[in-house]
Amino acid sequence: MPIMTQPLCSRRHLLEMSAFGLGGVAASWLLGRDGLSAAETAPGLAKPDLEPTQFDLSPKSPHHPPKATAMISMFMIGGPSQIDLFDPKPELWKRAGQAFTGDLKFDNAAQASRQILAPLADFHPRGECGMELSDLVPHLGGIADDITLIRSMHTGVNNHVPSMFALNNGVGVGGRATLGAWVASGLGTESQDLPAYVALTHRSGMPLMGGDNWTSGGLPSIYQGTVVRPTHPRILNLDPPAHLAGAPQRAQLDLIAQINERHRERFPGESDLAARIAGYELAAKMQLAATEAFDLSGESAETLEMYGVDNPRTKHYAESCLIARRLVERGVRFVQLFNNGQSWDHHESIATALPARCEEIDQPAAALIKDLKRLGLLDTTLVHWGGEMGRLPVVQVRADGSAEKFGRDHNTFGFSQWMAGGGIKAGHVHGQTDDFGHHAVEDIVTHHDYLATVLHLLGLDHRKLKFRAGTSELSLVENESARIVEELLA
Amino acid sequence: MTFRPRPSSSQFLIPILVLVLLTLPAAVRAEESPQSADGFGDAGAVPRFESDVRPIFKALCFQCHGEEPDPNGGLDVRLVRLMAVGGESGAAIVPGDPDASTLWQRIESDEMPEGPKKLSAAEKELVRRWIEGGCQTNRPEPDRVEDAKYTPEELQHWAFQPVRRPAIPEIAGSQAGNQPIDAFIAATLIEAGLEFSPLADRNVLIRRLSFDLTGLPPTPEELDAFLRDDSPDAYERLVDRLLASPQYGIRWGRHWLDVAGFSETDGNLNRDTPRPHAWRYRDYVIDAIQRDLPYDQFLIEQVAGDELVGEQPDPDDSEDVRRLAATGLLQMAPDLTGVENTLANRNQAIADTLSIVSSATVGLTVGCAQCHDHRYDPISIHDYYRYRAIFDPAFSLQAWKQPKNRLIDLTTAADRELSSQIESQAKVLEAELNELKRGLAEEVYARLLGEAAESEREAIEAALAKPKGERDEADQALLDRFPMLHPVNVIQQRLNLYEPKRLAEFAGHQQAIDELRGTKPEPRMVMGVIEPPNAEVKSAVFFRGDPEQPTEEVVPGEIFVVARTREGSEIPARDDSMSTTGRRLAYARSLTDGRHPLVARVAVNRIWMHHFGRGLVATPSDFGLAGQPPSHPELLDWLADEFVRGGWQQKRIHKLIVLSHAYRQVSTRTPELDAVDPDNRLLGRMSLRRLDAESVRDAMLVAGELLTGSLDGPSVPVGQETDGRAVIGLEQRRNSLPAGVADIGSQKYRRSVFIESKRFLPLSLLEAFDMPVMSPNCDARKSTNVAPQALLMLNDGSVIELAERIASLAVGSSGEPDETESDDADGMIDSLFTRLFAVAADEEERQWCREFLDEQTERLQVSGDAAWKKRLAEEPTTARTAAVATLVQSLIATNRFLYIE
Repeated sequence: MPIMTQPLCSRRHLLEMSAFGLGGVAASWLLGRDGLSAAETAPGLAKPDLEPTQFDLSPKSPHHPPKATAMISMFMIGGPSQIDLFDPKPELWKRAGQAFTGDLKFDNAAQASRQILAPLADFHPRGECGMELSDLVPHLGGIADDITLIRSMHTGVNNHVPSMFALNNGVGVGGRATLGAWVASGLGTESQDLPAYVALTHRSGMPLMGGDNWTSGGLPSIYQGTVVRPTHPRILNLDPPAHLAGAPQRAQLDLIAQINERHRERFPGESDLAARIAGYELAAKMQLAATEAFDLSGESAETLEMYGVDNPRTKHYAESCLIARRLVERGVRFVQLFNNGQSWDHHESIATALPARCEEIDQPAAALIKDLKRLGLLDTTLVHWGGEMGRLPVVQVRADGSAEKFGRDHNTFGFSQWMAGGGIKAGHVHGQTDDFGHHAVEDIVTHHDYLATVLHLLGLDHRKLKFRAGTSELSLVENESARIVEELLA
Repeated sequence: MTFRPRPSSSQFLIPILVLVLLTLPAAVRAEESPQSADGFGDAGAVPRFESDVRPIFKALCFQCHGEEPDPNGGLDVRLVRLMAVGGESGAAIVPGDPDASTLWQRIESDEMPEGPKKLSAAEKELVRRWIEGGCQTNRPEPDRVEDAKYTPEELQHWAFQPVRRPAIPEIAGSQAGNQPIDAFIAATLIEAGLEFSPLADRNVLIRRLSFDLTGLPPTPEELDAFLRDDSPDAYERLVDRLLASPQYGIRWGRHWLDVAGFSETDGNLNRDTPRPHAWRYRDYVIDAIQRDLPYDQFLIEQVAGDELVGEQPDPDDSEDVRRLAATGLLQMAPDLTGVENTLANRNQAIADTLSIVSSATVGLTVGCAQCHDHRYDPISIHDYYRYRAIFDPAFSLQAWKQPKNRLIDLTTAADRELSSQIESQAKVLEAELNELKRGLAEEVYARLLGEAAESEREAIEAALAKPKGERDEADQALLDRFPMLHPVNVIQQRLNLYEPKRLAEFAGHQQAIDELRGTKPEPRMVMGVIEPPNAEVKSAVFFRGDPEQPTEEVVPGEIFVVARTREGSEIPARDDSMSTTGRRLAYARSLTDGRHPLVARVAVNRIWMHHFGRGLVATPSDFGLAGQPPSHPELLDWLADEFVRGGWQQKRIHKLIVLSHAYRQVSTRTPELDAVDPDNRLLGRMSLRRLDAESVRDAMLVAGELLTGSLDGPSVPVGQETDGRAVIGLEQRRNSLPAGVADIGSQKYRRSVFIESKRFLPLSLLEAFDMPVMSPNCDARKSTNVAPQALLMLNDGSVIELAERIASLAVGSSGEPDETESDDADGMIDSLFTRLFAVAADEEERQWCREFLDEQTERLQVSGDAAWKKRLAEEPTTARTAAVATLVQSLIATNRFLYIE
C-alpha cells in the first residue's frame, strides 16, 4: 500500500521538519519556493535577496497536477543494442553480410566495417499489443502490455559521456544538476526519514563518471542523490562503527541534546538552532527507517523469486530493483539504478556478453513493473529503462580479426528505451528508425523532449523549473525546441 | 534520410539572461494585494510610465518591441507616444480605456509577452490602472527615442551617484559612544525606538573575533591571557594581534577567493582537468591581504598586472612574478576549451571572466547585458561589449590559447642555468649510452649479414641502404630472405627484439640519466595573463550574444552609468607609451580613482558582510536596481569614503568595525527587538552565525593541536574513495574508476584553504557544510541544515579520527585515564570546553560530562564486535579512552561548537 498519504504541502508537516532538509522552518515556508520556480514571480520589480537562504526537502506543490509522484529510472550505461533487443528490421536479416550503403559514423574508425550484422536473436510479437521484442528479453515480453517502447530516441552526440549526461542533466557535460536533483528540488519528498533522491550503484563498481551521475550541480547540495551502495553499509555515515552502535551512540545523542537544549534556552527564537537539534533525532530516525527499507527479509518467497533474488545471476540487480520499489513505497521521490562502468558497451563479444547482461537485468526489471502494478503503485510511479545510446547495424571486428569476438559500435542517432506507469501509455510503440535501425526518422524523441516529458508527468513545467546560482540561471531543459511528447501520454 | 540534430548547448554555464529572484519582499510577491505601496508606487496614486510601467516593459517587452531592429508588429513600446501611434494593428493604447487598448488586451490574455514569462496579476493591474489613468508620464517625452534609453529614475539610482561623506549623526545619551559607526547605527535604532544590546562577555568576544579575523578558535592559552588582561586596551590589543597573525591573511584571503571564483580545475567535460599552478594566485591573494596591500593596488594588479610589468617580465624580480600571479583572477573562470576548443566555449570563458570581474569589483550584474539591454539596470548591450573590449586584446576569440598554452614560464635564471647544466650532463651520459647501443647494434648487424653468402652481402647492403620506395623487386626478394636484417639504426631501435638480455644490462645507465634529469628544479609556471604586444583587435556587439553574429563595432569604454559622473574615466583604445593596448591598466586606474561610485562601496560592504553575516547592502554583487537598497546608506558612504581616504587599507576598516559597540554586542534576541526588527537589519544586537565549512574543519584541527604544514605552496590533493567520498590523499585509479586513496601524512592537517578545490570533487567534509562550487564564483555563501550533516558528525571516519586525536590530547594533559580521579576528569572536561567553546564548563555541565564518561566507559566495555572485544582485552584503558573520544565528538556536534554567538 502506498505510504504517500500526506498532503503535498502542509504547514504542520513542514514544522515537523525533515531529516534531509531542515530548512529555516517557518522562514522558508514564508519565503516560498526559495530559488525555484522564480519565473512565476514578478519580473519587473522584484529584488533578489542574496542573503544566505535556507533550503529544505519538505513536499512542494507541483506546477500542475501530476500523473506520477515518484520515478524509478534504470539507467543502462554503455548503450544496449536496440538492433538485437528492441527494434526488429527485416532488412538486416535479408542483407546480412552485405555492405551497408548509407552514412555511418563510427566511434572506433580503426575497427569499422560496413558489413551488415543480422540481429543476434529472433523477434516475436508479445502481449495483446503485439509489441515485437527480441528473445533476449523474454521477461520484458511478459510486460509488453504495460510499457511504451520508444524506438526513436536521439541525442546525436556520439559518445557515452556527453550522451548520458544529455539524458540525465539536459546539457551533455558533467557537473550539472541531474534530473533527480531537479525533481528533488522542485517537489521535495514525501518521506522525511529517507533521502529524496537515491542512486543505487552496482556490485561490480561505480558507473562511468561516478558521482557526476547524481550531482546537484549548481543547486544546493541537499538535492544531491544519496548513494545506496550494493553492500553494507548501504548509505555512507548511516551507521556508526561497531563499538558505538546502539547504546553508546544513543548516549551521545542524549548528551548532544542536553547541551543543545541549554544553549537554545539562551537564544530564544533562533529557528536554526531548533532545526539542528531536531536534525540529530531525525538522523537517528533515518538510521532506523533506512535500515528497515533495505531489509528484504520481510518480502515473501514468491516476491523474491519473481525478482530473481534466488538466482545468483540475477540476485544483485533483483535486490536493487526490490529496494527501489521499497524506497518509492516509502515516499522516496526519485530512484535511479546504475550498472557498473559502461557495461552495455559491446564493441566486442556481443554474441556472448549481451545475452549475459540481459539475463542479469531482464527478469528483475520486468518483476519491478509487475510488483508495482500489483501493489497499485504503477499508476503513480514513472519507470524508465534505457541507456545513452544504441548500436550500429554493422559489425565491429577487432584488429586481430578474431571473428568470434565481433561487436557493434555506438549509435546515438536512433536507439530505443522503454517507459511505464505514471501517466505513460501501456502496450504502445512510439517512433521509428530507418530500415536499418540506424537513424530515428519518425516521431523523434530528443533528450530535451524526454526530460520535458518526464517533468511534465511529475507535475513540473520545464520552462518554469529554474534556479539562480550566483550570477547564472540554471534549468534542466534549456533547449527552446523541447516539447512534451503528448503521444507518449496515456 | 538523415536527421540533423538540434543544436545542444554544451556550455558549462548559461549566461544569465534575466535576473531570477530568490525571494521577494512580501508586498511585491503578494499578487492578491496589488494596491501595495511597495515598489509599485502609491496605492491610490495614478501610475506613471517612467516610474511604474516602464520597468515592467523594459524587462519583458523592449527587446522585441524597440531595442532590436524591425520591432515586432512595427510596435515600439519604449515611449508612450510611440504606443499611441502604434504599429501594424493600429494604436496600442487608448488613454483612459484599457479595454479598447490592444496592448492591454494582449497582455491581459497572456498573448504577450510570448514565451513562458508573463506579467503577474499585480503588474497587469498596474498597467490597467495606468491606461485607465490616462497613460501619464512624469515629464514630456524626448523627441528622439534614443534619448529615452535611460530614464532619470534609473540614472538617479542611489548606487550610481558619487559617494558623499555624510556628517556623523550627533547622538545624545550613552548609545552612540564616541565611535562613528555606532553613531550611524544608533541613529537608525533610535528612529525605530530601539537601542543597542549590552556588550558580550570576554569569552564570547574572543571566540567571535578569532573566528572572524582568522577563521580559527582561540587556543586555551590565548583565552587565558585575554581573560587575565585587566588593561583597558586588552580588547584592542587582541584585535591588533589577530590582524597581524598570518592566519588573518588566510581567512580574509579566502573571502576574496570566493568572489574571484578560485578553483583548481577547468570544470570541463569528463576530466575536470586540474590546474596545477592555480595555487600561485591563491598565495598572491593571501599574501596581499596579509600585508594589507592597499585595495586599489590589489585591484590594479589583478586586472592589469601584466601591463604594470611591461613587455619583458623578469623572473628574478619577485615583484614581476607577484604581479603576473595576480592576473590569475582573469584565468579563474570555468574553461571548457581545453577539451572542446569551440567558439562558443571560448566566448563562454570570456563571459564568465567578465562576470567574475564585474561582480567582484563594481557589484553589478553586467553579464545580464550580454544578449540584450539589461532588464533592470541602465546597462545596454553596447555597454557590455564596450566593457568587454577592455579585455578583448588579452582574450582574443580568434587567437585563442587553450588553458595549457597560457601558462607563463617564470623560472629564475639560476634555475634555468641549473637545469641546462643538468641537461648537458644528461646528454653526455645519453651519448655514452647510445654509443653502447650502437656497438651492440653493429654486432647484431654483422652477425646477421654474416649469415648470408659472402657474394650476396654487397647487394644486400646496397638494397638496405635504399629508401623502401626505391627498392626494386630484386632488392625486395633478396631482403625477404633475411627478414630480421635491417639497417644498423633500425636494429638499434629494436634491440629488445634482438638482444633483450644484453640490452637489459644498460638499464642502470638509463636509470642514472633519468635520476639526473629528475634533479632539475621544477619550472615556475604562473597561471596568469600576458596581453600580446601590438594586438590588433576589433570588438563588436554580438547580436543576441552570439559570437557568430558580430554586428556594430565598438571601442573600449567604462559602463556609461558609472562613467557619466566622472571626468577622465575614458579608456583609450591604445596607449602609445606601451607595447600592449593599456586598456586594462587604464580601466583598473579608473576603477581605483577614488571617485568611482561603486568600487569602494562594494568593497566596504563586503567587509561588513563578513563581520556581521549580512552586508549593509544584502546583495553584495548587485548594487543595481534589482539589488537590495542599503539598510544604512549614510554609514555605507561614510565607510566607503573613510576607506579611500585612509589609503584603501582594509585592516583599518576591520579595526573600526570590530571596535564598535555594534560588533561587540550580545547576539540574543529580545521581544522588543524581534517585534520591530526580527531580521536584525538595524543591528540592535549581533546575529548568531553558523561556522563556515573551513572553520568547522580548521577548528577541529586547532582543538587537536594538529594544524600543521606550510601556509603557501601547492595544494593538498583530494581524491575519491571507492565508496564515493572525497577525502584528502592521492587518488589511485584502475580502469578509470576509483581504487582507493593513499595517505599523505601530516600534510593532511593543513588549513582548509590549502586543500585542492576541485569543481566536481569538493572534499566531502567541506561540501557538507556548504563550501561553494565555483560556477563561476560565489558572492555569498549559502547555509544548509540537513540530517546528513548530523550523520557526518556522528559517523564519518574523518570526524571520529579527529575526535580521537583531540581526546588523546585532553587525556594526556590531565593525567587521564585514571578513572577514579574525578578532579582529573573535571580538568579534562574544562580543557575540552575551553578548546571547543572558549569557555570552561560550569558545575552542571561538568556533572553531565562526568556521568556520561563513566556510563559510556561501562557501555563501551560491553559493546562492539569481536575486534573491539579483542582490543578491550589487550588494553584495559581502551573503553575509557574511547569514552573520552565520544565525549569530544558529542561536543563537536553541538550547536555550541557550530555557532558563533
